Amino acid sequence: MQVSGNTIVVNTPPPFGDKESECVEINFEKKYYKVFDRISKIPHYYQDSLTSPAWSLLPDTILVLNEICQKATAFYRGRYIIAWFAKNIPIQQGPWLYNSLPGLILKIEDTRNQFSFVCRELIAKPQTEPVFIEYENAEKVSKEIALQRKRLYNVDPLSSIEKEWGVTMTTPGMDMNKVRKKRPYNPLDLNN
Amino acid sequence: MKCCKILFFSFCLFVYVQAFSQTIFTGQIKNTANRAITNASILLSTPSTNSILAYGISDNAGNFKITLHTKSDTIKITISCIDYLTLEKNVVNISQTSIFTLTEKSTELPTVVVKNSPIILQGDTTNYSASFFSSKQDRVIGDVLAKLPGIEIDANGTITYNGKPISNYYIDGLDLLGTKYNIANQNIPSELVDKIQLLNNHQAIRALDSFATTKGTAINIKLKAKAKNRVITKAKLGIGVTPILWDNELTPLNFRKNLQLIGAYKNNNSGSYLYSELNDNYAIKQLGAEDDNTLNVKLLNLVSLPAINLPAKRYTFNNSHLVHFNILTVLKNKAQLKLNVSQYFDNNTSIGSNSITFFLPNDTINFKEVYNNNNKENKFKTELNYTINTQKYYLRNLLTYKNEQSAETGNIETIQSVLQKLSSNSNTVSNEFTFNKVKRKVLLSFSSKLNYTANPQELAVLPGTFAAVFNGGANFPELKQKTNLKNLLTNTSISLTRKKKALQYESKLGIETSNIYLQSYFLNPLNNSIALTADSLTNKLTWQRIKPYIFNTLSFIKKKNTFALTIPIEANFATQKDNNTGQKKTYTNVSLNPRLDITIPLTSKLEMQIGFVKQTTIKSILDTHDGYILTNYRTLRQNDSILPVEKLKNLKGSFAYKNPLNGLFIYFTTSYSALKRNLLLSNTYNNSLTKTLAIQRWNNQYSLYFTGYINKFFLTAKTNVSIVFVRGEIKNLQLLQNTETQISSTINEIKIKTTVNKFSWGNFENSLSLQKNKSKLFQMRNEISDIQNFSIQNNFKIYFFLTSKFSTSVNTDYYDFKNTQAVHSKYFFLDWGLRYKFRNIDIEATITNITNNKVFNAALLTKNTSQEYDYKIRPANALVRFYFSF
Repeated sequence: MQVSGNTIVVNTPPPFGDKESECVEINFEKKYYKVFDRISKIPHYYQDSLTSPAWSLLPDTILVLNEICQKATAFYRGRYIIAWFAKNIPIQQGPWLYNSLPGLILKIEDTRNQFSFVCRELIAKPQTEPVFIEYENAEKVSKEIALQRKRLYNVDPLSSIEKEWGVTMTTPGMDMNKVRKKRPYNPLDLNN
Repeated sequence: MKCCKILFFSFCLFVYVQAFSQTIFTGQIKNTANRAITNASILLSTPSTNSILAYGISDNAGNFKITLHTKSDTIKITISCIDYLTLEKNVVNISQTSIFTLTEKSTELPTVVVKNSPIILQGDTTNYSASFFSSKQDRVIGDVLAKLPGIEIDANGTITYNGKPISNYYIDGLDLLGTKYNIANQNIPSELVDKIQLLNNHQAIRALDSFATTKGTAINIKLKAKAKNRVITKAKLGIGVTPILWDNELTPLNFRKNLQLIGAYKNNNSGSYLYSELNDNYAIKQLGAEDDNTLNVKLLNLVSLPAINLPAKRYTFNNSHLVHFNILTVLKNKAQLKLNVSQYFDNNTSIGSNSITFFLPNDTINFKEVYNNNNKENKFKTELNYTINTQKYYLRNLLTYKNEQSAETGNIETIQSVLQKLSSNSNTVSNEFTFNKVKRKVLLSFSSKLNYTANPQELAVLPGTFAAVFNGGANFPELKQKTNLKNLLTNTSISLTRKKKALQYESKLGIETSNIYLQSYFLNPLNNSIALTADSLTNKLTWQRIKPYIFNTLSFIKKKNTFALTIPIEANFATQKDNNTGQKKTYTNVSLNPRLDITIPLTSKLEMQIGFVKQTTIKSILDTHDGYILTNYRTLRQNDSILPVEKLKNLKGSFAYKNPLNGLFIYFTTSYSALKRNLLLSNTYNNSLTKTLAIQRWNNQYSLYFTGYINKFFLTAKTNVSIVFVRGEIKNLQLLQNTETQISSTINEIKIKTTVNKFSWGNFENSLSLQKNKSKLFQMRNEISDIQNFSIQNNFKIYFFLTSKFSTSVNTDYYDFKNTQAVHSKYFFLDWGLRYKFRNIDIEATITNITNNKVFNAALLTKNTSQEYDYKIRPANALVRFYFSF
C-alpha cells in the first residue's frame, strides 16, 4: 500500500490463488476510487464512489506487530467482517476499500473464513515522489463491463482470452472439456 | 393530587433519561496556526480502561460530532493525527462543544517501524528466517536446522520436531532425497538458504488431503535466488598428521524449477563417518504397521567392541570413499522421475579390549577379550522413483537394487588366540507400487510391495570352538560355517475409503506372503572340503507364511478431534519344512487385532493422544531352526521347537504443546507394553561359550517408558534451551544355567542442552547428559544381583569471532563413568580450531585431542551381561582444510 497525499494505491493482495492483477486507487478527499486491471486486451479501469462501513466497536484487543489492536465489526459489500485496528496509528485506512476506523487496520477477515488480510511489515519512509501506477493508457469503462470481464476471466479464463483477442484456444493432446471446466468465483465485493 | 402527578411524571422522566442517556460531543480540531485539521481521530473512552467506546474523524473543516452512550461520569478524549502530538483530556460526561488545538511534531511514526519477525506463522506453516538462526561458523544447512526451536537432530541425523520424527524433507517443494535427507543437511551451504518452513498437519499425498489419515510435520528448505539456475560446486581439500591424513570433497549442486541435483565424491582417513549421509531416516510407523524385520538380518557376526558414546571422529580408524548422485526431474505431465545412486567403500580398524561378566543365579562368569578387527565393506545402492501426485490421483513406483559386501577379520586374545573371518555378500531387489484415486468423494487405493533378498555368509573360526559338539571333545584347527538366507516378501492390498461429513469408513483387503529359505552347514573340521551332514548341524529349511487380512477402520473427525477404531482380522497360515528330515511344522491362526487412536486438541496449541493396539505375530525361521547356527565364535544357537508366536498389547498416551511464535515446545509420552511369548530362551554358559536354546513355555515381558521433552527459544537473547528425559523399565523372564531368573532393567537419562547465539563476538553451546542404568536379577523373588552404571557427559563448544575474517574455536568433551564393580574412569578431550577467510577460500586448521587420550574406557549393561571395554582412540592430530566453491 503506498500513500501520497490523499491518494492511496493498493495492490489488492491475493486472497485466492495466484498473483492478482487488480490495482485500486482511492481518493479519500473526493470520496471515490478507481479499479485498474489488465485482464483485457487493453488495460482498463472503472470509477465508483467510496462508501464507509458502519463499524461497531468491541472491547476485545489483540497484538499485531507489537501494536495493540481493538476489534470492530461491520457488514460491508455483502460480507460480515471483523477488523482489528491499531489505536496508536491514526490512519483511517486498511487493505482494499476498508476504511473509516480511527486507526490503521492491521488485520481483517470475514466471518465465513473466506479471506483474511494480515499486515506483515510496516515501513515508514518519506513519500516525496508521485506514486507509480503501472496502468498508463488504461481506458475507462463502465463498472458493469469491468465486472463482467472480471467474472469471465476468473470463471473461464480461456473463454475470456478468446473473447478479448478473437482467437480460439486449444491445447493439443488434452481434453478441452476438462481444461475449460468452470472455476468458482468468489470476489471480495459480493454486491457486484 | 396534581402535585403527586407532576412528581410521578418527573420521576419517570428522570428514570427514562438515566436509562437511555446519550451525550453528544461536537467540536473542531485546529493546529497552532489556527488551520483546520482533516482526518484527525477523536477517541472517547473511560479513564480506567483502554477500550474505545466511540470515535469520530474530523472532516475537511476539522469538525466532528460523536454520540456516546455510557453511564460513566468522566470521559477521556484522545485526539491523534499524523504529524501531530497526541492530545488527551478528561471531561465530564455531558454534551459539549470544544475546540482542540494540536501541536505539530516532526517525527514520522518511529514506534511503528517493525521488522519482520524471524518466526512467522501462516496457517499450518511456520517460517523460520535462515539468516537469523545461522551463526558465522555454520557451513551447511544442517548446522542451522539444529538451532531451530523445537528441532532436535540425533547422532544418525534423524530430525524430530517436538519429539516426533519429521515425515518429509523438501527442497523448494520437491522431494529429491526421500528418507536420505542427511545428504541435504550435510551438503547444502547454509548461505544459499532463505528460509526453512515447517509444514504442520502435512499429508504428502495430495489425493488423501481431504481424508482422515496420519499427518506429520514436514520440512521445506526455501533457497535464495542466487542458489538457483546454475551449477554450484563445493570443494574441500584437507591434509594433516599423524600419520598422514586427508579429507577431501567435491560436491556439485544444481537447483532449478523442474530439476534438482546433488552429487558428491568424498574421501578421508581422518575419522569422518561418511556413510551417515546415506542413513534412511524414517518417521515412526504405527505400531503394528512396521515392515517385516527379516529383511536386513545378518545371521553371522564377528564378536567386536560394542558401540561407544563418542563422536565417530575420535575412534574411527578408516579409509573411506563415498560417491553419490541424486537427480530429480519434473516431466511435462507433472510426473517426477528421481534417480539416487550411491557407492561406499571403507576399510576400517578397531582395537580394544572387553571384560565381560555374565551374572548367573549361582555364579558369575568373567572373561576378557582383546580385539584387533578389520572390516572392508563395499555398499552399492540405486533407487528409481516415478511419482505423479495430483489432487485426483497419486501414483508411485519405487524400484531399488542394493548390494552389500563385507570381508571382516578379527583377532581375539582371550583364554587363547582366536582368529575370526566373516564374509557377506547380500543382494536385494525390491519394488513398491502405490496408486490412490479419488472419485466422487470415494478413495480407491491399491498397493503392491515385493522384496527379494539373498544373503550368503561364511564364518571361519581358528582354532575351532565347541569341540564337544563338532569333534567329539578334541581340539581342532578351524571351524567353518556357511549360510545362505533367501527371503521373498510380498504384500498386496486394495482399499476403499468413504467419507460423509464427520464419519469416514475404510475397508482394506490384502494378502501378505513370506517365503524364506535357510541353508546352513558346517565343514568337516578335519577336511574343509566336506560338509558335515548330521541333522543337528545343518539347516535346510523353507518357511512359508500366507496372511490374508481385512482391515476395517471407522474414523470420526470433528473440529480436529479424531477418533479412529481399526479392527483388523488376520488369518495366518505358516508352514516350516525341514528338507533334510521331511518334517513339517504348521501354525494356523485367525486373530482379531483391534487398535484405537484418539486425538483431542485441548486448546489450539495443546493436543492429547491416546492409543491402544493388540497384535499377534508369528516369527520366522530366523528364530526357529533345528540345526545349530554359530552366530559368532562363542555363541551357538539352536531352536528345535514350535513356531514362535508373540502377542502384544500396548497402551500409549501423549501430550504435546506447541507455540512456535513463542518458541515453547513441550512433549510428554508414556507407553506400557505387555508381550507374551510362547518360547522361553535358555542360555547355558561354559566359560566364554554360550549355548542358546528355546523352551516351549508361555512367558511375559513388561515394559514401561516415559519420555519428556521441553524446548524454549528466547528470541531476543537468541538462546535455545532444551531438556530431554527418559525413563524406561523392562521386566522379563529368562533361563540362565537352567534356572528361572527374572530380570529387571531400568534406564534413566536426562539431557540438558543450551545454545547461545546472541553476541557479535561469539557464540557457545553446552550439552550435559546424566545416565543411570540398573539391572537386577531375581530368583524366586529374591534379589540375587544388582548391577548399576552411572555416567556424566558434558560437551562444551565456544566460537570467538576475532575479526570479520578470523575466528577461533575451542571444544571440550568431559566423560565420567562408574559402576558397581568399582570401575571409575574420567576423560577430558580438548580440540582447538582456527579459521581464516582469504578471498574466496575458507582455511580451517584444527588440532584434535590435544590432551592426547589414547584409550577410552566405557561400560554397557544389558540384562544379565555387563561389559567394560577399552577402545583405542585416535591420538592428537592436526589438519588443515581449504573450503571453496565455484
